[in-house]
Amino acid sequence: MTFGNLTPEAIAFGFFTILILGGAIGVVTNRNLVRAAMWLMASLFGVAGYFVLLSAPFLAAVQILVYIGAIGILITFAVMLTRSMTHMPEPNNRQWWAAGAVAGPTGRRLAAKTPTSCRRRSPKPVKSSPPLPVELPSVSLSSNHPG
Amino acid sequence: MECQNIINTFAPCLVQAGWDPDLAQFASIFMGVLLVATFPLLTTVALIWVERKIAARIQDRLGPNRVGPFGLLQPIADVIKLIGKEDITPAGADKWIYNASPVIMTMSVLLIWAVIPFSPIHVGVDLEIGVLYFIAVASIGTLAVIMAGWSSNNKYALLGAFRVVAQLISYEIPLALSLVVPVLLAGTMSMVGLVEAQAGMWFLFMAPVSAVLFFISAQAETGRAPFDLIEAESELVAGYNIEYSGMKFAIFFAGEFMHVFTNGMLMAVLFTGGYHGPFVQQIPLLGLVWLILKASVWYFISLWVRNSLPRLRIDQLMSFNWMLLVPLSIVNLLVMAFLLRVVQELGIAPSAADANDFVANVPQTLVFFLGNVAVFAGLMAVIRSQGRRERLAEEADDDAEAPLLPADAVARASE
Repeated sequence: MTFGNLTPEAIAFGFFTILILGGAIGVVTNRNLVRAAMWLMASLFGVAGYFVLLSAPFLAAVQILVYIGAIGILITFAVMLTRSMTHMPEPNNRQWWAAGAVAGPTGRRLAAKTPTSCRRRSPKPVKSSPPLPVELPSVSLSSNHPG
Repeated sequence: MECQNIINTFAPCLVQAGWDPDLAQFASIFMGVLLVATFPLLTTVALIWVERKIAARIQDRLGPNRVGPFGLLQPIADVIKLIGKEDITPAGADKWIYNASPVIMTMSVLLIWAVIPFSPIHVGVDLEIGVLYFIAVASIGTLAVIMAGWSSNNKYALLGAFRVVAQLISYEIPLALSLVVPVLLAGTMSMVGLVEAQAGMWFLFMAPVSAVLFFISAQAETGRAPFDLIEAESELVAGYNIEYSGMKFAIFFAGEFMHVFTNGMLMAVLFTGGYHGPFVQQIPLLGLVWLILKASVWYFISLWVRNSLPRLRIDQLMSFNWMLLVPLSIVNLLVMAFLLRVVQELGIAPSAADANDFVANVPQTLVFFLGNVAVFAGLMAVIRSQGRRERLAEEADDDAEAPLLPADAVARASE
């Protein structure tokens, strides 16, 4: 079945992408840790949907079983046992500057490694830099999509 | 294609009637989903009456007998009452999570029905990973419990949820481990494959220990006596669903009733041959009748257990699982895997040609059955020696306090 140019797979892909990204945004913006855990599970559920779309139903079932059935419940359980933690007065703790110092440059380097076809605005490509461990996934990804 | 069996050929029939093929496909799938989802829900309405009647007869009562013939319309009266009740959301409750958890609870049970093969040609979807799908989907129920307990903003609900989650997570382990044995025997995780592998011989006779383990853990997963610490209405506050009222409470309970019958269905599919029975090859829909009959037998045994046995204490519940069921299921799995290898190496297993033949399956079934008997005997020996040690320790304590009488000395000497 097609809706214009959209195949059902594309619609499902869009739905799961919204679920993953929306869930991820929900995790980082929610002050309430239990709600954040729920959003995390929604996000992980979307990843299971991706696996189904990739014709990997085994991984999808394992994703739900391990990440929602086990890890999600473990996180929720731990958060609930620390009642005072469920309502965070501030979104950031005192180490926010350290996290920013690590995340900023890493993000920039990752963006530099992203294939240009995936970017809207392409800044000058970084010539050569010693690869960080965090860069390795992006390196392997970009080798699949040259240019 | 001919337009005769409307259930199988719904999409082609619609195309014949002039529908767009894609739309016909969509409508056909939609109808299938609707059927598979509605069937268990409607069954539940009848099951509530059945359960109350059976419980009443076991307890020497009459049960519902006022509304309609034999009280058959009682569930409908109950539903009308529940719809009329006020829908209360406690102050300070997390509204979204509070409202979502009954739905997720029921959904986790309903989703299991997607992979259950009803007859040789009628199955929601035959996933290659059917058994794994069942475990994954069933584990979502735990999440619903914890959501309900937390979002109610009630410390008793939260404590109840902790109790339940501890129980559900623990009993998932023997449940999953006992499921591995049929998967080993059939060589597939697909539910249809599992049923087809039982054409010659039911797995109940090949792996009785796994069947019993699965039955016990499934009973614990539904939270029925003797594992009903989830609710324990006569002793504890009702548990995680204490703040729920009206229809939301009813949805939780519909989920529970449905879960019990679903477990019966799974027992039928995994261990007692699913839709196999006389004349199924001629009339495929008859498979549904056999399946429901088998499931009803397991359902009845489950109710029987529920209404006969007293409730376990929480520490007994946990030690029963971790000290007995989990080690037993691991040993059982190892023994069965070893025997499967032995059977294959010795050539006792029936060839692919006569795998569906009853007689050809008898030798390997005997081997597996004896293996199960050995596991059971080993279990009994362990329990016996443990009990004996405890008894001797108690006796030693008694002896230290009271002087030994001559009669006791004689009795101990003869032991």
